[in-house]
Amino acid sequence: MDAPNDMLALPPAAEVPRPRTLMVGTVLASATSVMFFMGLFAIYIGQRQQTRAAGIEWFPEGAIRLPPGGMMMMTLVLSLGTMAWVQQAIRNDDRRSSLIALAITMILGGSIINQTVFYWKDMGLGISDNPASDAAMLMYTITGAHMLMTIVGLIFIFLMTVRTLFGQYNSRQADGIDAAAFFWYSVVAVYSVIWIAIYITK
Amino acid sequence: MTTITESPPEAGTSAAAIGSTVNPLDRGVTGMLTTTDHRRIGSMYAGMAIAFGVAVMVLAAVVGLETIDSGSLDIFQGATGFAQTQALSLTGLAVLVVMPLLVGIGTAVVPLQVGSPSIAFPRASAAGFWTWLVGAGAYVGSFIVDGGFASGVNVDNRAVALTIAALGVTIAGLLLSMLCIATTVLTLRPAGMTLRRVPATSWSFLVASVVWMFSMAILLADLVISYVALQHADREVEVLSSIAWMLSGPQVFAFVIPAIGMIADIIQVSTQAKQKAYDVLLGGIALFGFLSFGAFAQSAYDLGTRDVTDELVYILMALALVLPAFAIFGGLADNLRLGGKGTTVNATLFGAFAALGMLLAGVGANALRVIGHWGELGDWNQTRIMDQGVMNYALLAGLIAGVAGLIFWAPKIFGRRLNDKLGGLGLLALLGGTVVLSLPQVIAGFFENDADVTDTLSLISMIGAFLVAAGALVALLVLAIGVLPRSTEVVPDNPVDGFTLEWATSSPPPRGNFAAPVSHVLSATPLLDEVPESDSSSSSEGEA
Repeated sequence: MDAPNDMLALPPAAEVPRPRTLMVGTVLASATSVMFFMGLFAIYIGQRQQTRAAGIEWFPEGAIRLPPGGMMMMTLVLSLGTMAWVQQAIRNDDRRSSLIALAITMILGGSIINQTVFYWKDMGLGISDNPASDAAMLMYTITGAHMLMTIVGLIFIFLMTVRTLFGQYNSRQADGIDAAAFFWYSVVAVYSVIWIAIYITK
Repeated sequence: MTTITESPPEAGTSAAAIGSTVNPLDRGVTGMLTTTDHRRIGSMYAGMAIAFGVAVMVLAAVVGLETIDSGSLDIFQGATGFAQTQALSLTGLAVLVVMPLLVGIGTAVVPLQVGSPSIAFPRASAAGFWTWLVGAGAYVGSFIVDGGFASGVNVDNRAVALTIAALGVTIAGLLLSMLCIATTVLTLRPAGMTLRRVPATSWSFLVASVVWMFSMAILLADLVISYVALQHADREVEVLSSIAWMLSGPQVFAFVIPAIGMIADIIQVSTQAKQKAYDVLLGGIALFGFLSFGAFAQSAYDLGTRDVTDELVYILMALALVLPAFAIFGGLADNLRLGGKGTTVNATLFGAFAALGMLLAGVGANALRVIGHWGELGDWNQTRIMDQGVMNYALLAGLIAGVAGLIFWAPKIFGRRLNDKLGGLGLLALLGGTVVLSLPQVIAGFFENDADVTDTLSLISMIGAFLVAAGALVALLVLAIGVLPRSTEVVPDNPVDGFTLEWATSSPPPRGNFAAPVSHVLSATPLLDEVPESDSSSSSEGEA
């Protein structure tokens, strides 16, 4: 048997794995965002400890209520499920289900923005009402920054929805969906700390 | 032999583009504004950073002049103006000069070193540069319109808010560019190039990007709170004290982590000797990066009445930082012995050792500073002067390494060789200036309230600042002469006999960086690998 026939007899070369550039970039960006919030939380908790140690009230009595924060947490937990549904559906090449799940995730994300703004107004707490306490200022900074992160996450999901709509993602290539999902999970993770630090432990 | 033939979509290259000439769309002013060519973005970063370097060091010298004779001189028209200018010169050295210079070199060199046709997310990398530049312009502008880091009666609070916002934007731009570099190292390496085989420069950029992203994110949090406090809560802010951790040890060493890898590559190539303990070198860089994370050492995190800088972990980290620094120095100094007479003595080798020396001096001075503070050997003000000495040692080590790196990789970045003798002169001025500027500041830390001694030391420091400014000016001149389009010199592919992939392509590299996709990499020094006879034809196709 001559050489060309030998080569023809070889099995096909293994598929070269596609670089997960978008996924790795998103992981780095998410980690940076989480560190940013860790910085905010560290200052929030430190200031709260110092203010209370000085005998000054941190938040006015009744200003922070648990139900709104709990509702937002529940909404985000639901969005975790829909985002996981997106990932599962795309792995099964079920584009219709993945689009439905993406749309529901975006609706839930949009409702987080709505709930945050509603609660800000409902609370009626002025940012500089109490010069002795930085509580309101820090609370608005943290929840405002989280709202911005949520908006970025929604834009990311929207772009991936458009790509999915045009057939870019499937069971063999779902990097963009995985990246958007990872970022969204970090949005929820950050909120869970907000929920504990601001709403539960007040 | 495995050959990677697939280019990632983000790389912006196609089979047709690989090997072709420079993209005609990248020419002219429009090309400059819209380019996504990583080498061009990197060179714009570096050029702007060195130009800022001249201005910042002149400013530092003028600040030094007023420090000596504050009684009769009133250059800045009052204490507020003096404080504002001093703040600009201190922070400017980090965010306008050293960090962008190193980011620029990383943007230009790292994709070549890891055999990638482009940087990851090229448009994001370009956006990072322009974000940094706009932020830097607004930052300088905010000081011109009476901004600064402290609000008060004699200061325009809107300008102070602009200063805070501009600093945040500047850092965000740098982080975006670093994210692209880190992603390139992590995902766009050729087959066979494990992380243990990544060139030292690329490895150090990977370590630096992680440390920068984690620590600078916390700085951004500080800035956001200051901005909200000033603009929306009518609070008085004193930002410089809340971000002082960024300008002192150990955090200040994080800004020059990439310099260590660059130094290592330059020394290995100049001595023509592979680093024997390469894994130790990579581990040393990683440990140095870990120990230089200093975001926790800020006044906002003080525990009760005790400063966080009095905590044992802070003191131990400052002392431990000496270990990897000296281990790296020892390993690289051994290269000189291994290289022997075959060592090429030139400006870049001088610059590499000068930068390494200054870094070691900074690490040592930082350990002394911490011991001095812990043992109450100086009062607060004197510790602050010592902080500046440590900062100048560290950051100027980064500047020296950056200039040496630009000369070293000029054939790949600009397609030209830079003037070695003039470059050497610039590096000499930078080295002399760094010693003359920083050493007196470190010594001043040990003299409590002795005005005569501190005035004399401040005078010497001021001369040092002028010397550094002169060195930066010479470096800018070398860069300007080197990149002028009149030169017709044909630069060989590997004029320095380098070992890593960037030297396997032409000078300047073609569009797509390599004439053909890079082959399987077998070691950290792929150009020294012996290629099996049967693979020689495809290897030369892939790597040449």
